[in-house]
Amino acid sequence: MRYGYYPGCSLHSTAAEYEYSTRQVCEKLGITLEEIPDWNCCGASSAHSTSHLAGVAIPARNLALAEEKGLDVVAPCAACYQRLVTADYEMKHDPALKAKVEQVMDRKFNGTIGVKSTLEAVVESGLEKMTKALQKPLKGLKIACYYGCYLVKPPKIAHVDDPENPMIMDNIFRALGAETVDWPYKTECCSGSLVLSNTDITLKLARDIMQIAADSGANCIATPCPLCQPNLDMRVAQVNKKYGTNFDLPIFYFTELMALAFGVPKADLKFNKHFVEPTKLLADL
Amino acid sequence: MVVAAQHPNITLYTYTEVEEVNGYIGNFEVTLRKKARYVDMKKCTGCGLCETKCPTKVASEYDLGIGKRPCIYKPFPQAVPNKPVIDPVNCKKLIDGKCGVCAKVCPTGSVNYEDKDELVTEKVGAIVMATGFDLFDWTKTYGEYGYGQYPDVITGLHFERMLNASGPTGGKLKRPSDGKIPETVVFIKCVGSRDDTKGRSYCSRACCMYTAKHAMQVLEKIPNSQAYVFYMDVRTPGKMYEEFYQRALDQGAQYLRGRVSKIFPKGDKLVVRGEDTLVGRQVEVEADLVVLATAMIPSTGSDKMAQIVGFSTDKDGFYTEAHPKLRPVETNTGGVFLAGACQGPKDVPDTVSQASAAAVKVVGLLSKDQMATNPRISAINEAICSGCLHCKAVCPYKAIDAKTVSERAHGQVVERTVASVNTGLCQGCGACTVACRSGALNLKGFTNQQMLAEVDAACQ
Amino acid sequence: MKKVGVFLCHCGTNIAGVVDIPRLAEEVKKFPFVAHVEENKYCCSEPGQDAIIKAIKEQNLDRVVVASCSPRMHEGTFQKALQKAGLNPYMFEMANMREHCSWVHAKQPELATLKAMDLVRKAVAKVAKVEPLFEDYISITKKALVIGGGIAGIQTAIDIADAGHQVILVERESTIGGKMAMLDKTFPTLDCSA
Repeated sequence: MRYGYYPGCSLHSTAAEYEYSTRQVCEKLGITLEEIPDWNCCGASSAHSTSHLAGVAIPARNLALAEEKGLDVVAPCAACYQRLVTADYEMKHDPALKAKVEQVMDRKFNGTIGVKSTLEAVVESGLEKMTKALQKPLKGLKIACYYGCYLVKPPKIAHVDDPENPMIMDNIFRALGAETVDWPYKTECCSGSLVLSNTDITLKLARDIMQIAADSGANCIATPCPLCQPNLDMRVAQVNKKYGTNFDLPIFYFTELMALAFGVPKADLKFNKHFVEPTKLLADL
Repeated sequence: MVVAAQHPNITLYTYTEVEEVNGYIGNFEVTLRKKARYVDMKKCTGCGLCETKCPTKVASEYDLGIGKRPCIYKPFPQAVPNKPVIDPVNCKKLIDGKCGVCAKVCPTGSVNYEDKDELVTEKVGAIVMATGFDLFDWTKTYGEYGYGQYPDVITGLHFERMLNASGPTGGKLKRPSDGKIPETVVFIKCVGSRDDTKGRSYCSRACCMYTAKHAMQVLEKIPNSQAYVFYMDVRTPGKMYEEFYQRALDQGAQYLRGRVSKIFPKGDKLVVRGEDTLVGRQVEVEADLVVLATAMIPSTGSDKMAQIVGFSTDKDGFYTEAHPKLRPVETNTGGVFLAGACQGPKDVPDTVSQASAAAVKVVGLLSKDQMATNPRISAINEAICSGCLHCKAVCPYKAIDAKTVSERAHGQVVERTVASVNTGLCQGCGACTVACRSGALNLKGFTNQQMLAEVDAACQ
Repeated sequence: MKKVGVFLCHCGTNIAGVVDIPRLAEEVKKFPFVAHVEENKYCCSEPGQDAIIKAIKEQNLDRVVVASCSPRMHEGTFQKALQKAGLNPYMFEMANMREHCSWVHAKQPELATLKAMDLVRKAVAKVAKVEPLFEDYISITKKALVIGGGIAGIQTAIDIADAGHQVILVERESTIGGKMAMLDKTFPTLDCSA
């Protein structure tokens, strides 16, 4: 399967470990990622909070570029995914807006391609392929699958899975030999957008997520979102200081654990970029 | 209930479905299917011995799964008629012949495993639809409340069953998960009502009042209890309703204006998170029990019933009245009337009023020996009818049939099929006149000629 | 010769506040077969109906148009007036210049007046083509069927039965009572539901 790969800004910078593991996983599953040439920012969240037109036109250009190549788009970043599917949805439902957007970007968009998150693309390759590629079952991991908000809400537009109790990532990890915990915070907000403006709220929301994951018996958290991951990973120390807690749950990208299960060497997976030391947990793998 | 059962003018057919309705106002012919009860109603005394001895217990539908019932059972102790039926889906004797305990213990020999459905035909002059309502299934759409995975999130009807003295908990309010008495109870209104996204757009009308009642009952029955009610609006448009709501407030029910966005378990409690829009803050309540006031929807199978009897339903599946203000208990089909929640969500006082209104309409009809029909109905010109019977297919009132006419042509008698309009059934809707290609059908008072004259005048 | 009487209703200010009725009346007088045009503040009122009856008798009208509200409102009222005056009640037509005109075009009185003329012209053209219709009579089986044995069905059945008619009450469950019997106490009186 061949996709137009839209890395967005995170995957080429702060989430380099997500990019690396995503490419590894896709390779093992026979998914070819062809980076969309001359892609631009998805616009989140500065564009759509200031101009509706810009909020649609900026991601739409990326769709148009992928369409010219005849490829469906895969976006690992949840925020990028949201902007891309929203642009796609709005243009399909509002011909007047579509005309305006086409004028702004000086390109046609015919709506012949689809947008997927990496999570979907991986699952669509089949659980069978995954179990075939499995080399190191993820024994001993009790994962709280944390999907974040962008992939599932609003359900009319972003519909990777059920908006309240998604299972798509849980099913992957169960197939790869890990346990996943049933917990109620799968799609709660990590407060990514308040990181700079209201740290108090960020710390509370991060604390809640870690607390409930820990209470549910998890020993790590996995996420497909390059905003949730740093937001939680970087906050653990601050949370522990503010609330007197003692959290040490590593926060993984789901592709890191998949790559590990597929036999990619630990040393290559850039775990040194993590704030919460994961090596102890992964010692037996 | 007992009054109805004992009334000399009322014939009661329970465990019976309406299979077919033919005819028209004043002259309906109805086929009823009396389902096999496997219990001889004449011999059975309703002693209840069989119920105590039946070895197979299944979840009781009547108690919404909170309690269990045997496979030969009365749904509740005061059932009318007070005689049991056998549940053919779960009864071991009926499945594989291995049991037969109820027949052995029955002192009157009433149990008959060979019982069969029976069809009965009745002639009636009027039909009243009173098929009621069911509750919206919130577990399919309200993921934020747990999709029904948390046992201590229940509906108002579960709450009623528990508080009912003959219910599964003998009138005690208990948590379904562990049987503990709940101290903090949260009520959420408008679950599925006034919710275009997940449920229905309409207001279910009874929930504001029964939730106020439930809150009061919690506060009265359980010492040191607290009742929180999350609401969008409080609607109390009925006599003594506002006063009733004020009583709930006086007794200490905490009303919070806002929607609940999430319910999740924390230890053995449920965290209910919502917004208090009056103070503009997020609030969290740790509850022992959450009660959802779910929307009223048309009862299961009511759409099929409308087809069998022959009238229309509205966008939500409720039965359509002939006019919302002026003919609220009639349908557009002559002789068919509406009572209760089948027409739209209703509380008890409104249901009783509407039922009496429907009865008056029926009595008005039945007190005449004969009645005048509306002359503005379809008429067929047999001479130009080609017998294609498109009209028969489009008629919503089953008023058109084929008939054979003999006529002379070239010295021979030939037989020909033409359409024939039943003047009792035709309601004058005009659908057939549009479908008729040869212009053989005309609505009297709205003939093609008359309509064209209007069009000509309008185009002048 | 057909003689049509046209009655233009003000409906208080509902119609007359928008449609220019005197101007309309002048126009209607020119329509074919129109023998009599009359305005009335409320055609449906008793004096309004009497005016129709009086005009039919005095002018020997053989068909009538009332331009007022929706026929769902008052068609029956005016048909009875025709009957009282000795006319077949189906020699009648209504032009709906309230719901179809003055209410929806309240802000465009000029256009509304022109539309009212069209509506009345149409009604006059149609009424010129109508023929007397006669009602049929069918017999009535004096027995009622009530489908559903909940609170609504039980109440209806008892009321019909108390009036002396036979009732068949059908319930698909093995007991009557419906949802009501499942309840504990009911508002606002808090008495038991069974």
